[in-house]
Amino acid sequence: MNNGYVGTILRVNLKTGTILKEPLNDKNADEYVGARGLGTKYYCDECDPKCDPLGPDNKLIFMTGPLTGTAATSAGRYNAVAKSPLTGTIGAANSGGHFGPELKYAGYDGIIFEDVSDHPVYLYISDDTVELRDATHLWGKDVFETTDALNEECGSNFRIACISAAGETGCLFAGIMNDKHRAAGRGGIGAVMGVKKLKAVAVKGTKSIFVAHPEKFFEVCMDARAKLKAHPVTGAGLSAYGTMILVNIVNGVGGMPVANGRDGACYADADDISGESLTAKHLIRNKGCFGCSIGCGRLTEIKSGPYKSQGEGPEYEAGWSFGADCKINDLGAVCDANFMCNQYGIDPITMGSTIACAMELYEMGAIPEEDIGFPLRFGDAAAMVKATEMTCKGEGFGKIMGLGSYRMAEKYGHPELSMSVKKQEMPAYDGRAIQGIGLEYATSNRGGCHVRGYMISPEVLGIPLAMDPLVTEGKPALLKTFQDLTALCDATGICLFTTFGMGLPEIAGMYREAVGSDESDEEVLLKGERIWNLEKQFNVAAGVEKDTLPPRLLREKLPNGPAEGKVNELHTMLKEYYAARGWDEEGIPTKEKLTALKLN
Amino acid sequence: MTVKFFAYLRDPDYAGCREITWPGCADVLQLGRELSTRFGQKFHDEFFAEGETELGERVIVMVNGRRVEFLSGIHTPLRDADLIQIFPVVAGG
Ligand code: SF4
Repeated sequence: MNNGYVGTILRVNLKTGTILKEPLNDKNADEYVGARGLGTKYYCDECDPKCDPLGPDNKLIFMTGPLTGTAATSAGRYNAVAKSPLTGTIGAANSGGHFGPELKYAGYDGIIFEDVSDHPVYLYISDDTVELRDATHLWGKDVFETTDALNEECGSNFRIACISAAGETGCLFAGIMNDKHRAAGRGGIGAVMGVKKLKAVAVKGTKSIFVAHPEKFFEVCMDARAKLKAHPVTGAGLSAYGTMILVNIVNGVGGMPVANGRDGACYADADDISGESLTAKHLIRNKGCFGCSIGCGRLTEIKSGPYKSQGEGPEYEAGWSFGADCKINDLGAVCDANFMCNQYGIDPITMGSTIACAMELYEMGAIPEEDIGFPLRFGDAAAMVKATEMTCKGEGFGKIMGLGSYRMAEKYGHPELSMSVKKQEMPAYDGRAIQGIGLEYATSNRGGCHVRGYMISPEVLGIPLAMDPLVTEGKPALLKTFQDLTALCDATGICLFTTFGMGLPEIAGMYREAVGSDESDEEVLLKGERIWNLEKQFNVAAGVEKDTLPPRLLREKLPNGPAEGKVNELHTMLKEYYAARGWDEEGIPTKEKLTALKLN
Repeated sequence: MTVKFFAYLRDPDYAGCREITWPGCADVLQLGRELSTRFGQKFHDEFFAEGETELGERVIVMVNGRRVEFLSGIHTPLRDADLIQIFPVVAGG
């Protein structure tokens, strides 16, 4: 094919062992682009929204985008799509690294896994050779061990996506890890893979990807890369300090939740866990995904002490969840907990936030010490690391924490203290100090999530324009556009971080020249809106709870900092947001809207 | 007042420190000028746009946690008890 796609979908039935090679559905590819969009379209066409996420009817789809593996900037992404066992929503988890491009070089845009196997297996792909192979010997191994074993078995040039024991034993926030350190991390998609007894996918490809207009495509890609190079964030800041550089600025506006949000959102020890400290003390070098000039990844090392270790990260979200949210100022402990999450393939946002919730419940006497096995107080770094390890290994109280903060807090009579939306933990920004991010969490189609619109960009960072974080005006309409653009960006297969330095014209330009379309920027963006509405339609049919925030954000005034006295004004913004979306007052897409988007 | 610097603004080429206590300045403009005299041209060119009519494109200045764009810009008045934070434009997620 000469349009960015490679034209074939693998359909693997794990029960019967049959493997089919199907032609890509061109109409769906045109309307839903790829990756998050196309994967969700296949999923919605084939699965019952009411299906049990941990049952045989929940399919698991790996999908790349038309730009994945091409010369487009930062185009190393794929999405893993299934119904999320954590939230019950559609769960699309996005990952970088090199796995997605390799799948396309082998000749496949995506893989659809159906049903469950009766024994552990992995999928071996070497160009046209595709086999389900026994993985009994890999079952129980962690991500690093599994990756090393498969590289030994299949070849060192194979790219591996896999789960660890956390995914095998049903941790509801287990992710799928590829290239050892890159995660399709959120929503528990790794637990879906575990139930299917699918340990890994190992892929190697030697084919090429062709685009519609090679010369023009190369030109727009080079323009986009030049734009990223020239921007202070994508050209210098992100590679110099990584995402942890956000610690001080988010804390600066009083928007970094402390102690599960109980103690407000200004952390006195923020600089101890900042990107500046990480760079000065622990950075070995930075690391990038496929075809990325930004290179925001970090290879880091704790050289001595109780947390002596080496790994990748942490990203800002993990720095916060194990740091300020647990009131831990020991960067070594924060890094160690984060490294463990990579090794065991679990989501560090949900992990840290669940520990913070457990700490609050413990301190108020709601969780007895005998249940946990040791005191679990805010500020106790050793206890935080131990709690992480227990969850990674599914031991003792770790099994309860492995259900996420909502189910844990509900068990102990305080679901309101779970800082989650639709049972998924909100990331590192307080919706009381930063109004738009609160609306974003509430309306995210996969529960509490910051990368479904990223309102921090205008509200804190001033990109592309500075908006006052304390006000609500203008936020709903802008969020809608950001959500649609994010959906489009994810669907093409490029990294969301590129949008700090470029925008719709560059994304639409690369997409057009790759697929051979003459659609306008607005017509391309409409595909993002279609994807967003499809996801919403699924959630409505699945019976997912309505858009709201934890009571703490709506009723407990911030006790300190620049946003002192503030709560999130969700009720004001939500009405305006639904109107901007063309949905009814309950937040349900109207018939007219669905018709306009060709969704009914 | 306390002035804090972040990211590369802590490098010797710029402020060369994390934090400094600075005696009374009427407003952000005066503070920027005085800090530029102390730290040099590179700091000045980062802090100000040409002509010192506004902040440079690559800098974020907060007074007590509020970006000066939402106060009175470069003319935001300062008091001795204020915390001024100066960041380069950063991002992440
Ligand atoms: S910006 Fe970071 S996460 Fe995105 S593709 Fe580049 S290295 Fe990967």
